[in-house]
Amino acid sequence: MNPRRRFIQTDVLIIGGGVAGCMAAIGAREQAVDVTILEKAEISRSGDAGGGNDHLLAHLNSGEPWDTDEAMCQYYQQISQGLIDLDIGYNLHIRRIGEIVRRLESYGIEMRDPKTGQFIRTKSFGQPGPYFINFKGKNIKPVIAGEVKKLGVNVINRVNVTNLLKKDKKVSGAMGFNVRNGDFYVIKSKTTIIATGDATRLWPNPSGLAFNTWQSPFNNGAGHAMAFRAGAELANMELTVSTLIPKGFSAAGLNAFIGMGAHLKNSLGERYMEKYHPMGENAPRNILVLGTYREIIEGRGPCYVDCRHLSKEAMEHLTKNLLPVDKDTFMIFCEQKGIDLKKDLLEIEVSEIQIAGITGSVSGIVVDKKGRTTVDRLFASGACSVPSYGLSGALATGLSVGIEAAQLAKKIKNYLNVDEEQIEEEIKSVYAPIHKKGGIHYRELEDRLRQVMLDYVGYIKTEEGLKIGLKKLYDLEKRVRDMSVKNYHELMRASEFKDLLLIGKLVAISALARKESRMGISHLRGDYPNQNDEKFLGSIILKNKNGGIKTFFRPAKLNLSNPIQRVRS
Amino acid sequence: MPPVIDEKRCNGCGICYKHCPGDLFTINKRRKKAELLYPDECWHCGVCRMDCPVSAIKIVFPIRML
Repeated sequence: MNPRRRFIQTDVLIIGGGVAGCMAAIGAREQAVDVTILEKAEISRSGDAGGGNDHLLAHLNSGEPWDTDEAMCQYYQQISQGLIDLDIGYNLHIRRIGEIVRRLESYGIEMRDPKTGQFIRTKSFGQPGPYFINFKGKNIKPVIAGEVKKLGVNVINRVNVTNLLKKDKKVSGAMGFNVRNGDFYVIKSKTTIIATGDATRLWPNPSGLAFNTWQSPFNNGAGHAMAFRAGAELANMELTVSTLIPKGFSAAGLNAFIGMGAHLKNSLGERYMEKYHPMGENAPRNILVLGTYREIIEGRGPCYVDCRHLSKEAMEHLTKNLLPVDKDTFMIFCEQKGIDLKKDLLEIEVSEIQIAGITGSVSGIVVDKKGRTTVDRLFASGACSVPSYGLSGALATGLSVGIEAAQLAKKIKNYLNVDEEQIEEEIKSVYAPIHKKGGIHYRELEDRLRQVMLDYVGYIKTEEGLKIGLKKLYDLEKRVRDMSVKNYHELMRASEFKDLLLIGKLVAISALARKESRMGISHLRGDYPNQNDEKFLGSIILKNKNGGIKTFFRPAKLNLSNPIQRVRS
Repeated sequence: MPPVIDEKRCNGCGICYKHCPGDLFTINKRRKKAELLYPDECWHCGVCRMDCPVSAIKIVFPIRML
């Protein structure tokens, strides 16, 4: 196989053109450097927010005690249990929230109620006040993508990046292929930002449809995997996330229901969340999921969302401005299921597990307060990095890290030489499945991966189970050489599978290391059912050492005392 | 399986092919119509439905999701 090769040079390379990648491009381009985005789909509609988003985590300094930088810092620290260094969270995310809201308004996104000129704000997930701005975000992605194009960013769509280029222990660019025509891309860069989002599709969905996932199923953790292979540290890959979804449809929308005051009820008609958390239905998401999980396995299921008591106005807002904006097809689903939220209970279930960058998730690529990974010239932002925090985090960390990567790029005079041998090896490995005759179809292997993850690295884990699971994952890895695909679209999926398999191993190894339970449903160990702050209040760090996976523990930095002053001084 | 294309309305403009985040569509050049190649990889995000300029796409959820 000798694919057509395309060579590109850029000051700042951004891998992934979701919200974080697009904001990084804007931040970098405003520093007057050349910027290139490599995107596997098309930037107007790619990533978790491609179909829209209805809520933005923001404090607005309105004068209320819960509405300040300090209060947001406290919430941030509390929800992440101190596992994200607040100096990093504040510097990359919290201090930029006001600017993000102003920028979105200046891009033409309707952030306020047109009738009153005020923000509509709701509260859920353990927030001390209404931190979610409800906004008209159906077109947030095409609007931001439009800003990217206006600034003259070089956008290359439909390129799946497979690995980073490295020279002299520094990242010098990336390689990938066009998922439609198979062309091979080699991009030389001065600095590189990974913004590839979550890792989904690693666990099966209850419906049995692998791509029926809460966050985008096209986010396969490629960035986590390539950063790890390049030597970057990853943190807390065992602290996974799940949510509550309508039975059958893994859709966003829980925040909308809770924010509008819907109740969660079991089959006995009880509002069960009060048993699990003093805030009841306003508890953090991982507790909502744990409570529901327990209700179901202990025999009080099914569980439901009950909206029947909501006022006409609240119901109108929920069903017109929130649910179908967060997930375009939510109300279409209800209609086809025959559910009328005004009259009927909506049955819910626990979603598939994923590694997602939602508010409070603490897993991902380790970065410092400039967004730098532990590998020289490599940055990360958005859901793939540790301080991610949903849409708000993707917007803010994207912008912050884009600026930082541009500033470093300006100081670098020359591009590093590309190692020809690394390119030839990558081509051989990437295109192997397309030449394989009579091998195993990639989908069979990916289905097997999900089966092992659910059986042994699933909702409740034990040491023995994790060890069996890990062995099965290593066995599956031996079959990768027999993997076959029919075309370049499938080659993209095969490449995604290889990354998912690596992440599966990382999750299992990290889960073995954390001999406790933490963060509700995020990490439940049957053999260590309690939280053990004495030993495990901190992060499990994963690192690639001579091809092997090493773990070590890094204690949390509990710096509730003022990160704001530290950054300003 | 979602999405379902109304061939009478589809004008083959290719917006769904351009925007689908999963790369699930093709445009049949001879018939000048959109075709869904990988129905089981659909996220049900509704991008094709929202962006179709002639409203030729309807989302029909598979029975196992209902």
